[in-house]
Amino acid sequence: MSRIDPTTYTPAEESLISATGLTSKFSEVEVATAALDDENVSAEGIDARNLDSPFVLSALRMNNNADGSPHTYSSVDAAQSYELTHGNGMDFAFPGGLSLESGDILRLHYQVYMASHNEALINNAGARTLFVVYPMWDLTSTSLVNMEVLPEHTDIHSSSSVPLNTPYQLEDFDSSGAYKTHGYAVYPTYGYLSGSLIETRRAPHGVWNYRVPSALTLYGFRFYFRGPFLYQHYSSGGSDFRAWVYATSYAMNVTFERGQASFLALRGGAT
Amino acid sequence: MSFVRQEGQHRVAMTPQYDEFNNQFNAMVQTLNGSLDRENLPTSCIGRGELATRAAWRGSITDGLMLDSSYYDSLTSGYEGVDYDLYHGGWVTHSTAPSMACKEGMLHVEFNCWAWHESSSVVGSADMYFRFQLVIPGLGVIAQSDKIYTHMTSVFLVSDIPVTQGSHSVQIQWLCPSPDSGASLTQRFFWWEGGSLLMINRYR
Repeated sequence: MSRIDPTTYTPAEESLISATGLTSKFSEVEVATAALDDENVSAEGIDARNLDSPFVLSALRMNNNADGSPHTYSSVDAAQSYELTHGNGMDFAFPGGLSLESGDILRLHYQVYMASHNEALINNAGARTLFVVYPMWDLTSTSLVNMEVLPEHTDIHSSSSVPLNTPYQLEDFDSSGAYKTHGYAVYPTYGYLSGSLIETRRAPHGVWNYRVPSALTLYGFRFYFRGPFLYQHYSSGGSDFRAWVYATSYAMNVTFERGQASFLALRGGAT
Repeated sequence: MSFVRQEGQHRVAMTPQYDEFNNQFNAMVQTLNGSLDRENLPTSCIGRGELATRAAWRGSITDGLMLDSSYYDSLTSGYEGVDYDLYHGGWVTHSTAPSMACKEGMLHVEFNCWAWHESSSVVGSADMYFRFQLVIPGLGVIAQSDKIYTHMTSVFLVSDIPVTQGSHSVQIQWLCPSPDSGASLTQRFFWWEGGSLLMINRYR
């Protein structure tokens, strides 16, 4: 590190300050400060106000419930997925596209409050039944019409009218990066029985953290839900894996209320 | 801090005294020797061109985390997960403990997964729950969930903690109570997967 140790000359009492002495003393400063390094700069030596290029590339926060009213989705069945459209909807849109570079970290957090459903058959703590709220993203369309499954995630967004016993494979110990579920939020179906309603009253915290592997343009996120699924081992026709399975047909009402999400894109980090 | 003149300023017609010179000079040297900080820099003076590539923070994401196979008994149908023949209670440390070379500063840690556990009516225990915690060896528990009685749900833990320079790892630990007497050894009762752990160091 750069260290100034001015010992060559120090004016003393009853002496004249010599020109040679002063020159040598300031030369020490000149030499030392040519190599200022991190040891000379305190731990918080640089912060945001000194930087003209921010490290938070994008920060958005969304509340879908400006109208304050719960919304019931009717005739819900695991045969199809449902877009969360209540309130103001739950889209994050980047109309011009958000240009991302390799190494950027994306952080998506979301919570949607599930108030109730009306299917008593899945009000059983031992039933292993669940709903899933999940985000998808659009990398090609400014109008958000090309939503894609998150990278490496198991595809639970398959088209409508899938048959009973359709399994959605989950990651296994020997899988190589496929069928992941960490970006999804899992909801229990168990709740408080109030008349004909099962009041689930839960808002699990969904998180998706992702390091961008190569440059891409992000146009937006959209949120969906699907269920009820049954968590179990699936073994049929040569297939053998754990899965979320569309096990029983229902036509149930599911009520969601408040939803919030936040998104950060960070740049400037090392691996 | 920036250099602040504390020993007075020489004026016209004054004769500089040796101690005035020495004191002022030494004050300047002290600043240069270790007290430089953001106050010395003008606003917006540094951009990407002046920073080393990816110099601002360090990040690590580990996903695909799930219950270790050593605690897993396979079935061809029905439940999948831990049974009492493999697990008898207590905190279990997951085999993957993501680590990262850190600079002195703050470490932000996030962990999320989803989990299932069996109901009390099946396993015979009146107090069936599960919980997770995060541990940094040398620092201790940095985050811990409450007892979670819900049969299926997402789990989210977050913590910010100061760390020293050097490599730091984060251990993921889980716990599920032991059964009451009479439960079957092969009764599956707990499973977690969909695990992801984020570490960000020195983010400003």
